[in-house]
Order: sequence, then structure tokens, then C-alpha cells
Amino acid sequence: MAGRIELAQQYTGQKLEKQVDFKDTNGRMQSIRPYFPSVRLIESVQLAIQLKRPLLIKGEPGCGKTKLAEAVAYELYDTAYLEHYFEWRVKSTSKAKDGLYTFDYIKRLRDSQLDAHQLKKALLEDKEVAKQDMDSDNLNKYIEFGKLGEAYKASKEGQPSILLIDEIDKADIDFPNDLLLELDELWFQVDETKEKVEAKEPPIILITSNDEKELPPAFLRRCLFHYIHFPKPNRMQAIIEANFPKLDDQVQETALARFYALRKTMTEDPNTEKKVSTSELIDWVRILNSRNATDMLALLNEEELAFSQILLKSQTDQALFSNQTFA
Amino acid sequence: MIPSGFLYHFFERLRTELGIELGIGEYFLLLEAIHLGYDPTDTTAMYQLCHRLWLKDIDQEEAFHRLFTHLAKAEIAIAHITLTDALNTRQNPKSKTQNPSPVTQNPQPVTQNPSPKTPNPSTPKPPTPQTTLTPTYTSVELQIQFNEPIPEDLTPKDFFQKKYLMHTSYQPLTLRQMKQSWRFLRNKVASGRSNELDIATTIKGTAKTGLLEELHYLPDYKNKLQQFIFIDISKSMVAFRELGEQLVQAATESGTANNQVFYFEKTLDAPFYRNPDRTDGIQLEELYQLLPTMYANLLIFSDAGAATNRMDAKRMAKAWYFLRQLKKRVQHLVWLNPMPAKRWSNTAAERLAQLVPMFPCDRLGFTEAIKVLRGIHSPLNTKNRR
Repeated sequence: MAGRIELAQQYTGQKLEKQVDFKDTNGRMQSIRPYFPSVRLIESVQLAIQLKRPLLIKGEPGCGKTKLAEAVAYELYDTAYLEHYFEWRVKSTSKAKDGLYTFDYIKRLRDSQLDAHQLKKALLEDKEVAKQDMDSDNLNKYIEFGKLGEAYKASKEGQPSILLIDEIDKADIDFPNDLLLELDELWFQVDETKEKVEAKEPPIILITSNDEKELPPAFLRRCLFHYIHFPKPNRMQAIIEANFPKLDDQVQETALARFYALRKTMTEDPNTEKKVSTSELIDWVRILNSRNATDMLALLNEEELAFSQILLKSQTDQALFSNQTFA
Repeated sequence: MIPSGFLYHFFERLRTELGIELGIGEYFLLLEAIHLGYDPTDTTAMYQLCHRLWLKDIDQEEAFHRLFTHLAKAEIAIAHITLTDALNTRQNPKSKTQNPSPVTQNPQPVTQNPSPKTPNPSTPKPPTPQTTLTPTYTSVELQIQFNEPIPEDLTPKDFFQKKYLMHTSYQPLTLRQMKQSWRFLRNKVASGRSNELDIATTIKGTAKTGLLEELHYLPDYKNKLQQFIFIDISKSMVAFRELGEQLVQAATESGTANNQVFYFEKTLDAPFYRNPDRTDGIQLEELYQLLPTMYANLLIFSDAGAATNRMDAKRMAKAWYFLRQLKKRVQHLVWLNPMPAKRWSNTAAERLAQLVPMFPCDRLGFTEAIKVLRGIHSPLNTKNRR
């Protein structure tokens, strides 16, 4: 199908260079932050789309693993992307089946009891029972589809849905293996109703992992892998400019220089607990941006790191790096 | 016929040398990508493609890069890949119709263009004239040339900024293999109740009374295994310090919980420490109290005199006695010896291997050790005892 390759070429990573505000179908305001993928990341996404394989993304915390999926969805479907974009946030208690569907047995049991009660009453009163009320045999109303199930259902020909499986390593170590068949075959069966849920078009599946647990080899074999490296200064500058278009040039320059100096020191120090990353920088610059530029420059040039609590997230890091001299 | 050539050679070396677990499906995936328009004559593009398709762990990036550069530079000048068989035996025949071949992307209709196709206009780097693509695509032969030097931007980030290079790719057992093996170490025991409804029992209960009185839940299965690791930090083990640390790292990162690591020096019944710097000691009595009889596994990592090729009778006797005590307190006990098995003869290792299952620290030995910890009989273990 030609639609497939056209879509693949649509992901250029250049559509989200500014923050986008829009109204969704419910009339609520939504906004997406700018996203600047590296050339290699764009190529990885394109390859994953072309080969119809899930893309496993790893990288330091705060480097934009999760945001990628939304950016891809936005680029493919513009502001209508919410209908095609599904986020499955995995928790430590998550089970693979939850992503497909859940069946509300308790409700079903209660309904069947109520129906029996009503039937008895009707028989006693010799009334025509409104059969449509006793529809506990209509099993579909007890089924609630999970994110994977929804994504499969929504994936239409030429319009693949985008599924984000976020932090897959949080769940039990059997979790990824339990998903293998569904990811491979692109369909599953609802056991209770024998309904077959099938993806008409392979969805674009992006999976993130923080490397807390080792993923099973069988699962890894099915995925393409991309590691998001920390952005180079010129790309970081673009990220900051896109997020804060009105930021004073000198403040931006000084802040970035100070940030990279801090990151370098942290990289070299083996005692570092968590290195500063893009998301922390954005939070930090947001605070700097809210103040007067002259004051901020003065603060930035002080020996003590201004607003260090935003950048340094542990007590050890605070003690080690909040007073580092600005080189 | 399996296609030969540089990429296949590289693929094989990745499997055998780096221990990356790849199947033939992954190789076909590469061929599929080439078929989709990735240029096999472009070294950079091929490196990136292999990187995306075959590398699954960023820790192996350096070794991956080294191998690729080495092969590209030294061994292969020109390689041929025959795609014929690969295309015919493609795993998913459906994908052939779904994937538009470069022909369909060509603005000119296929029928009007019987000569070899011009390069796919949508690919960023069109194939060089060395690539000959026949119109039918039943027999496609691609040539790869590595005349150009390997571009510098292939080098992994921070490659030259590191003060030293440390890698594990040449050790008989990689960190990755260790992590994967550790994953099997679990002992799930029903404890507490989960959120999962026990439908059969609930319906039975309801049928008895005619009322939905009580909801029954299935028990939750939790991993109760407590894994103890004793690591020898004597002078004879200095060379294996890094391996020991990796063992601990693998245990921690594998995702199976409850690992406790202790370090010891010289003899097994000397004081134990909670850290390799020997500042946080623990008395033997205290350690015995920590070791419960149920759900506890013990792994000892030591050379048992094999590294220095010595047999100290007194120490041996002490270790023997201690091991007998330990065996009563744990469910499964195993000994990993970093020295190869042929060096064990006439040392304490040889004697101790008769008392506890002892394995060399290579891939096979490690897998067997994990088997013993899982309570599975290991044929290699019996061989050692004999």
C-alpha cells in the first residue's frame, strides 16, 4: 500500500518547532511542547514505521523518550492526533492482559442475579417482561478495552494509530514476554465473547524503558532499538529558543554555558546520583525567564548555582555541585 | 542458500563474539530494509541500519563499532550479497505486497521501463551504479564497496573523551548474559490476595446461597527468593574484582529482588563485610541469623586457591566445615570459580568441588550454576564430583 510509505516520509521531526495550542474535539484547550529529535532518531522512527516493528527507546531520564510518541502522532495527524494516539503507562502492578481488555465479572454476576430476580417477579405477576432490560447476556457491555486494544481497534487502513508503552521495565519481568504474541500477530481474542480484535494497519508502537530491569531477549529481538543521547549545545539552544522565544539572549547564553559546565562536572564525578537533563534545564530556564534579565544575569554569574533545587535532585548532588565555581 | 558477504559476516561475528542474541529473522529484517530502499553501498547508512536493527544494549555500542570498523577496513573490500533466497523465503509473504518496492515508488510505470530501474528517488542517498537491480526482483545482486574510509561520525558519542576504555566484550561471560541468566532466579510463593477475581469459587459460593455474598480472590504470587552472594576479595582475586562487581550488578539489575552481597577475605569463616572496602563488617553469628533455611540461595564467587595454585590444608578444613554449616542453612548453594576447571587440580578448589557444586565462570558454567540455584540437576556438576 502506498499510504504506508507516504506516512513514513511524513515523519520529518520538523513540525513541532513551536509550542502548539489547539482545541480538542471536546472543546478543551490542549497544548504540545516543541520537540527536537536528532536526525538519527527521526531515521529510527521512519525505519520502525517501514519495517512495522516496535521501537524501543532508552536514554537518560528527562531526555524526551515519552514525548517522542506524541510528537510523531502530531506530525502524522496534526491536531486530530488525539483520536489516533494511545498512551499505556505501565505500573509495577500492570499485567499484559490489562492492555488488551478487562472483563467486569462482578458487574456481570450482579446483573445476572438482578435479572433472575426480575424474571421471578414477572412470572409471579404474570406480566410481559421487557426482555431488553434483561440483557446480561449482552457481554460487550462488560468489556473495557485497554490501551493496546483501543489502539488496535482504531488502526485503520492507511491510518495507523500510535501506541506508547511507557516505562515497560516497571512491570513484572514476565510482562514483555506476555505481550509477544499480540505484538507479533497484531490481533487478540476476547475470550469471553470470542470477538477478534484486529489491527487493520500495524500501529506505530513506541516503547520506553529506563533500564530498571533487563528485558527478555525474545522481546528485544522483535524491537528496533534507539538510545537517545544527550543533545549537543546547538540543538539544545534550539530547544530553549523554541520553548522560550522571548528569553533574553545573554541570559540564555550564560544559562546554557553554566548548565553544560555543571553537566560536565557531574559526568566526570563518579559520586553523581542523577545527571542534569533537558527537562530540568527547561524547568530551570522557565524560572529564569520569569524574572528581570539584569537580575538574572547577576544571579547566574554568582558562585552559588541559582535555583539549584530545580537542577539537583538529590541531597548528595546538592552538596557536591551547588557551589561549583562557574568556569 | 544463505547469502554471504560483509553484512552476513558481521552479523555472525556479532552473534558469536559479542554474544548478541540474534536470529535469522533479524538478518532478514536487514534485507527487507535494503529492499525498501536503504542503500547497501553506503557504509554510514549500513552502520546505522545494523545499529538500529541488531544492537539492543547501549553498553555494547563500543564493541559493536569496533567490530564493524575492523571488518569494514581489513577484511572485506568487495562483498556480494545475494538477495534471491532471502526474498523468496521471506517470513511474512504478506509484507511483500504491503511494502511498496522501490519500483512502485518510481514515477515511471514499471511496464514502460524494462531496463534496470533508476535509483529510488525517495531515498536520501541513491544507490551508486554498482548496484544492479533487475526489473523482476527475483534475482537481486548487490555489491558493497568499502573503498571510502569509515566516516568519523560513526564513532559513538564521548568515545574519545573518556579517560580510559573498559569493556567486557572479550570476557568469557558478558554482563548481558549474566543479567539474562539471573532473570530465571525466582521462587514464586502464594502470599496475600491479589485483585484477580477467583470466578469459579465466587460462582460456586453464589450458587450455594443464591446470593452474591462474598467475592473470592486468587492469591498473589510473590517472589520470596533471597539471593545471597559471597564474593572473595583476597589478593589472588584482584584480577577478578571487576567480574565480581559485574556479578553483583547483574543480580541487581536483572529485576529479581532481594539480593544481599557480602565480601570476605582469605578464608570463608573470617569476618564478612557488606562492602568491598571492608569498613562495614558483620560477625559470623549475625550472618547465620540472616540466612533463613527456606527460599535462600547462596552463590560463592572465589578461586578457592586455584589462582595461586596452592593447597592450604588448614584453610581448606575451615572452609569445608563452614560450607557444611552453610548447606544446612540455605536451599541451594553454588560456587563460581573464575579460574578454568583445569587449574583446579591439586588445589582447595578440587576438594571443595566435591562438597558443593562448583563451576568455572564462563557462559556454560554460569548457566549451569543458575540451574543449580533453581534446583535443577546439572549433569556437569556430577561430572565434577566424580
